Amino acid sequence: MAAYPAPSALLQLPRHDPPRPGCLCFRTRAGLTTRFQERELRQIATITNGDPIPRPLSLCIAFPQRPLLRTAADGGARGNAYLTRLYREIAMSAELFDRDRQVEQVHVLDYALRHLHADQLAEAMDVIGRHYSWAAPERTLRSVELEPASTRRADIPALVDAGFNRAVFNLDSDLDSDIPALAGLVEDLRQHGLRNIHVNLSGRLFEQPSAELDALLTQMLALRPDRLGLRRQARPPLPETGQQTGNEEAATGVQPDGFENLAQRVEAAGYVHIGLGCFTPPDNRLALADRQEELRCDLLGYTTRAESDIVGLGVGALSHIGSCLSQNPRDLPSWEDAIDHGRLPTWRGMQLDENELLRAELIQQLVCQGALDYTAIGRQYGIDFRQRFANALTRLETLAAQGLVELHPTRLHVTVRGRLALPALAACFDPHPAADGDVLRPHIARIP
Amino acid sequence: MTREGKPDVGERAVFPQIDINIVADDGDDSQFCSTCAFSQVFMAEGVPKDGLRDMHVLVEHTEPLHPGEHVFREGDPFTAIAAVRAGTVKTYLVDRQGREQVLGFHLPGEIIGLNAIDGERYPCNAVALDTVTLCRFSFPKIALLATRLPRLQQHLFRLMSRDIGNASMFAGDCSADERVAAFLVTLSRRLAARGFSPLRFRLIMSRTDIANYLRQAPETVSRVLRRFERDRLIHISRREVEILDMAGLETLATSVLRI
Repeated sequence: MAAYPAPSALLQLPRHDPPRPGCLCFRTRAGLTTRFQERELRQIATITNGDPIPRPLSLCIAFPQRPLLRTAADGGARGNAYLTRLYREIAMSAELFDRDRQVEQVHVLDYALRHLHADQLAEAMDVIGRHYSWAAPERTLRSVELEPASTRRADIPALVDAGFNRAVFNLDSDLDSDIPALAGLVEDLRQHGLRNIHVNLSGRLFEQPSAELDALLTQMLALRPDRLGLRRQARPPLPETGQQTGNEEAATGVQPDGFENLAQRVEAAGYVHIGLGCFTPPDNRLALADRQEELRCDLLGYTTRAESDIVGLGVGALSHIGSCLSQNPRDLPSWEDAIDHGRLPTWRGMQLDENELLRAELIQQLVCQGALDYTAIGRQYGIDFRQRFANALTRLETLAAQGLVELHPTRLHVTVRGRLALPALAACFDPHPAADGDVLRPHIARIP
Repeated sequence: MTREGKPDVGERAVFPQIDINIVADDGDDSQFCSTCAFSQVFMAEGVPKDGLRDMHVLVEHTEPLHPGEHVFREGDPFTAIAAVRAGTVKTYLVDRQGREQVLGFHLPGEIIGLNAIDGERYPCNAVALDTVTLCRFSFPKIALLATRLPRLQQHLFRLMSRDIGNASMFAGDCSADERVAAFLVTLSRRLAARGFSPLRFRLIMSRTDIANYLRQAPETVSRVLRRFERDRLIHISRREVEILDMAGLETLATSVLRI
């Protein structure tokens, strides 16, 4: 059945911030458009409230990349001004949702501690609780992005007190000097009872000579993170138009070397590859969910949680509510202006059509379950799978020849090697394939 | 499984998905559209549609209504009953305090306006929940025709009786579980009667409307549905419902449905 909103579309939505392991991007029909405004956001929120079992909510709190809101000179005034407006946005956005839609996740992005003190973050959590309904603490994920440079060891007890139970470190440039600081922070976090620690390596880190990369990996593995993300690429661009896509890279397969070796290194250290460059210890919930086929992937990466609607708050924040994606203004003045005028600061957005939702669901199953059952999908969506996706299956044959995927008459199955090339496999289901004859020469050795 | 016998689930369209064999058949001068609430009666009576036209019985296909547009409002003069051809229509009242009371949902093949016969004004509002197309029947003319066609008269009585039964279905003192189960079972049976899959369908109405109709809080409806999911009676994704254990649901619904 061409279903009203299929599970989270696997659009990877980059922002100005460092990349996180997320999902794939496929070409969309229209891209984000400024025709999608506050009114459209309100409509989709109302529609999702009308679902028989409305989804829980995930809040993503974003901060400007620059200017820094906390400077030595102003005594925190700018940070306070940002928070004041953020609280207004929290209050306004909470009104969109029925009260029984509980917040199960909060993700504080963009190294908030560059701008704020840890106790200000605690205050923000309290404000959320005043306007939204928190799920029970044991079911609630409170995640904060940290970096060694802006995190003081003294911040850690305050963060844990504020209920944060996941820390995410994104490392994307030279940080030789930061390694000891990082190790100290990880140790402190664990001592204070925060045991869910993610470390993501990306970007320029992969440009260094392999010996240095190898040494870095050794140091990271010594920290025994609960999740280790390896991503060579910064995130692909947002779906601006039908022409722009995050799959250019997947389609050309330009990444030459190394990922398979890196993956083997990490696996030799006792980690398992979930997919898309995400590794966990074998007893991690993700790995368990993977074996039980309960894994999901959303804007925030792999998760074992039920699907949620994602509400973005703050400058440039992205929302994924129902079948719609939307984004706040990326510049501080526009965001401030909307809030000062009592408007939800929706800058642009889009609604995925049923075709896109169906394909997003296929990609979801591909990257999470590593398999597609044509009969089950055909039954669920009321389609003849082989007929509807004949082109995709043809494209997959090339990859099958490379041993990345096994094509059976009624299903396909991603091989262990294929897990390292999920973006290339998923690209075969791009709803709007490139006009240039779908050149697809993926290379297995590619950081997803 | 249903009163219509064991359905061939695999091949039936999932409501409101359009199956060419069911809905897209608009009928023509000599054929009824197959969703028409009266087609079986007329066919049995041997009165094809062109015959009806000769008798000046108006069967008027209306322009599609968009979500939120009204078919009629409370107090409008009653001239015609309407059969839903496609889409879902909600009937409701608004009390003096401005509170809405949902009376029912009308699916393809079902009739709205029967409760307006007495009083000659529509006693409630009817609003399209999605894109809705209707066939309108002039009531005075169809009533006149019924005096000559006993089976049509019988059918009209049956429709009215069903309307009365539906109106009082949730008046009793039943638990939330029983109400929600009965709601799903009746929806499934009604869709099956129109050729749709009885086991998979989309809920067009919002949970607020469902809750209002069942005289429950929206939160209660969601809680009950979540429990049904846990007990593997149903599976729900967004608005898509799949009934996994019809017998189990029917058992729960017994005290409401009595059958």
